[in-house]
Amino acid sequence: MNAGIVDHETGTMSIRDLGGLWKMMPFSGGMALVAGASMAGFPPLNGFLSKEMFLEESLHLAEMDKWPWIIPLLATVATLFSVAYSIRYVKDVYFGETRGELPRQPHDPPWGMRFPMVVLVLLCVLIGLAPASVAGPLVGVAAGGVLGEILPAYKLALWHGLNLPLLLSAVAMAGGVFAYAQREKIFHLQDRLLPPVRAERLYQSAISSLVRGSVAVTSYLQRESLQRHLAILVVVSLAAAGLPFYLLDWQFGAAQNGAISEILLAAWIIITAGAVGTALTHRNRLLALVLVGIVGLVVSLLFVYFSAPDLALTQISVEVVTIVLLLLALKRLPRHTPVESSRLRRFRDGTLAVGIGSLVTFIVWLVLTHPLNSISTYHLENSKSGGGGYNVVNVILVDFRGFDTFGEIIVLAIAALAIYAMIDKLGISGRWQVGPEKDEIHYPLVLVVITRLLLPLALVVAIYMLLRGHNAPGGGFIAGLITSVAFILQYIASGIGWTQARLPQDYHPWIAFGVLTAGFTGVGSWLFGHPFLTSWFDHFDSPITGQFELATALVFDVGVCCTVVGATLLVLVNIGKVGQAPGRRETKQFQERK
Amino acid sequence: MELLFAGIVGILCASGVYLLLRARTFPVVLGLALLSYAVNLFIFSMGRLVVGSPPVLRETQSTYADPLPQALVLTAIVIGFGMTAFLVVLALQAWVELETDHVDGNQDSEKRQ
Repeated sequence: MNAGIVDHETGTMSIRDLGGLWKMMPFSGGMALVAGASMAGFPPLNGFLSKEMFLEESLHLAEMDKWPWIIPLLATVATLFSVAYSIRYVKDVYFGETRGELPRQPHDPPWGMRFPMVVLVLLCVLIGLAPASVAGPLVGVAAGGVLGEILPAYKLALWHGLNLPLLLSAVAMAGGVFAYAQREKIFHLQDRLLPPVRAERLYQSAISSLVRGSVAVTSYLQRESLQRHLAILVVVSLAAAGLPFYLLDWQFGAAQNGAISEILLAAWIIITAGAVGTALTHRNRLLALVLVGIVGLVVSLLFVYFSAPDLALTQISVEVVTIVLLLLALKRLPRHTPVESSRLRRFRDGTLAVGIGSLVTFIVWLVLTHPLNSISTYHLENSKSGGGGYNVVNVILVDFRGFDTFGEIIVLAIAALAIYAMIDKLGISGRWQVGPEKDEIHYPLVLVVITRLLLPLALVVAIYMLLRGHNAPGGGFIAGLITSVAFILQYIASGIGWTQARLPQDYHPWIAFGVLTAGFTGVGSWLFGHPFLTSWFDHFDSPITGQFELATALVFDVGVCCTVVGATLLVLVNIGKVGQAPGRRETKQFQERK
Repeated sequence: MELLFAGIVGILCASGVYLLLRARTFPVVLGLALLSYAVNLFIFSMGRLVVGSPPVLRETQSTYADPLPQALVLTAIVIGFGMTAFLVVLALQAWVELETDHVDGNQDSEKRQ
């Protein structure tokens, strides 16, 4: 800081041009004197203290087998040089004769620049005189933060008695003074032995070669081709996941269940046929989509089989919504994919795919043969007593990991809003109108009747799922998805015009209400002195229903449910509008007419 | 049983990766859908495969499937829908603005390589 002030006042940083500044800048000179003495390690300043500790620790390190003296020697030499340069700085800059003309006429800086210097110099003196009381608490906190455990015993004091570090310190001090006196010889030696090196030039050349290298790599990898990027990504992940098996020891665990259940075998056959079929027939997009739907259905059945009813319910309802979404996209996108890739490229991609598939199969198999050591015993034990629910998965979602769920519904909300914004930007949704020609489409009567009958029934199921979610498979996510599916069915069966005349037009408020409800449930627990999203529950008696439970987790789940309904419907209805919007050619005509 | 399940995850992965490397947006979306099935099953199976003991507390039941991966995967499925929808809208936007559904927005890029 002092050097910066000197630079500021004189306009030069070269120590060879400076000298005798004491006459013009006595205040800065005094500060430099104290700070320099501290840096050189003169008692009773804090530099002395830290240097003593530094030397003492270097002696502890001397317990190495080979060359035990090397570390203390290096430490002493380093101290010696810091003594020498401190003397040189203070003496050559502030004392001696004024050398030549300076770019500027120096004087002491304004108080704004003096003040920080004074604070630091005062600290040097105070810490030196009373280390334990001034720096002790800070050292304790900082060291505790680094070590993360109870601190070893240590002593902060100026005077440790006559010991080896003090001797080394004295040697360094004398050596430093001697080195300063003989500095011309040292400079001469340096000029002879070492080539003239400029740190700035080294730095610049290192940076520019780094930039050149990364430009070369980037221009090689990025050729504006997503396929190429993804292929590189796949190759790298294949190598990264496969290499440990080559380098490290591994073995199969003992937990092998040889019995092959017919259900799993059937699932394997259908999923294999569906997945491979999708890959092979992807040029016929509608067929491929149907096959993906079948795979998704069997995946949800797998969840049922492997004791995950909540996952199965979520998967099957998301499946419905996803297929509707992709069908809506297909309404606009071409129905077929042209043959473009060369045979070689298809072979390359196929090889990569088989490689990844085999590796994943192997990893999953390997893991499944090892026994599980899970942390979820805690969740199973505390679900009823702490969260008030029997369905542990739901209690984890709304209670144990409620904050995560809160974050996730916000992610969903943001995704939906971003999609809405993008569609809005397409400029199509605004021009879309329910015209008489659109309503000429004949919707199948049977579907119309059945979906209208199903709507109240589906909503009742959704409410049921929401209410029972805490104690049985269900919950906010599933209830929200079922509600969305029920509404979406109306759009599909009766058309967007009919449905929008009867259902809420705008789904933004649903999202806002959902996120805010979930958030306020969390904030509510602050009123009772608990952390964010601590749930509360109690049992009540009612003459009609008997004993029932009320939990704040239910309110949170209502928030989750509303967010899911709002997000899915906002997305689907708006993509549906794109599907019904006039085509590009019509849009152009529309604009021309305007 | 473990190998069979692992095979399901592997096949979903392989088909997903193959479709991911296609040149048009729609197959890429389908590939991502297959890949997310694979990833969800993968994470789910880290709680091991347990038949007939869902993690819903009952007095007659002493062992339960691991609820933690289930809770993770449940939200992952819903977020996966959000991601797919986002991708679909990107694809639609590219189709409307660039008049091609090639992933590079340029049909000739295939020939240049």
